[in-house]
Amino acid sequence: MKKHIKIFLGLLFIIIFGLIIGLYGKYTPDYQKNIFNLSTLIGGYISAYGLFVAILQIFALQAITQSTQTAVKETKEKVEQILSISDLAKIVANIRFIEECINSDKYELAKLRLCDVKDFMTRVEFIKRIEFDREEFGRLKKRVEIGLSNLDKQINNKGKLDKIIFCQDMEEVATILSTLENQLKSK
Amino acid sequence: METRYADLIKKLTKLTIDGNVEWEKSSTEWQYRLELKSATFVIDKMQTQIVEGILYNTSYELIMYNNRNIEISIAKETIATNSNENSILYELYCAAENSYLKETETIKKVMDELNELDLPI
Repeated sequence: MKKHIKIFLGLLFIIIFGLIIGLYGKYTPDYQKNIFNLSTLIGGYISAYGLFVAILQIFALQAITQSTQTAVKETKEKVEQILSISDLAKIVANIRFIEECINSDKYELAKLRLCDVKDFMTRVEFIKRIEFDREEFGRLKKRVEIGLSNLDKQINNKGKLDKIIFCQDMEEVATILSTLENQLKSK
Repeated sequence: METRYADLIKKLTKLTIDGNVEWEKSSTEWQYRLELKSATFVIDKMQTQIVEGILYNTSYELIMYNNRNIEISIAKETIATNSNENSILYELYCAAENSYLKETETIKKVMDELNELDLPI
């Protein structure tokens, strides 16, 4: 409860208390004016006022809980968004690194990093608040899968990797992920 | 080979020859891919050396990637170098290669152009 509301309630208590005492003094016949009646009146007033304040506090607490929940949710979403942006940037950098690995014939390392890209692309579909062409994304996911299979062939000498096409495919993946990153940044 | 797979290969070959689908070069030598909405197909040619420098076996393989990125091997055939048999996978491979290179189409266009130049004035 805010400070000014507390002061207001305190003043209200005193004013009503004074009013009750005043009315008691003015309108109660003299033969009924005794300590028992006065204490009953004061006790009743204090109880009623206490109940009123307790109800007010419950409502205030409820409002605080709701606003806290909203704040927590907003913070969580913001943190998730920041994480998603940094993850996307990291994965785009990873793709560039894969291209470097391919050009310097480090296929095992490229395969490891490409596995990360594949896992991340699966996770991307669960990031809220981003819109993208799922069909196109699915097509690129399949290319990554084919890329992994072809890297395997290259590593096991079962096929010769076409570096140019491989890097072109990687660039397409990097482009769509960069677009998603920019989309998240602009929100 | 299962009938449904043979039917699929024949259908792909026909659509490729008719120019209704277009294959692209994939990231391995002698490999082409076809990206459809429901799946991606990859056709591969592999050569295995039997006798050093002389004999080769050529294998063709068609793989399908479904929408859950699962690799499904549709068919694999091996043809010996001295064999004259033509498999349906070989036909699909040739069609896919031609679809990417557009060799037949380009040669036809070039011939038409050359014929036009060759006309007596």
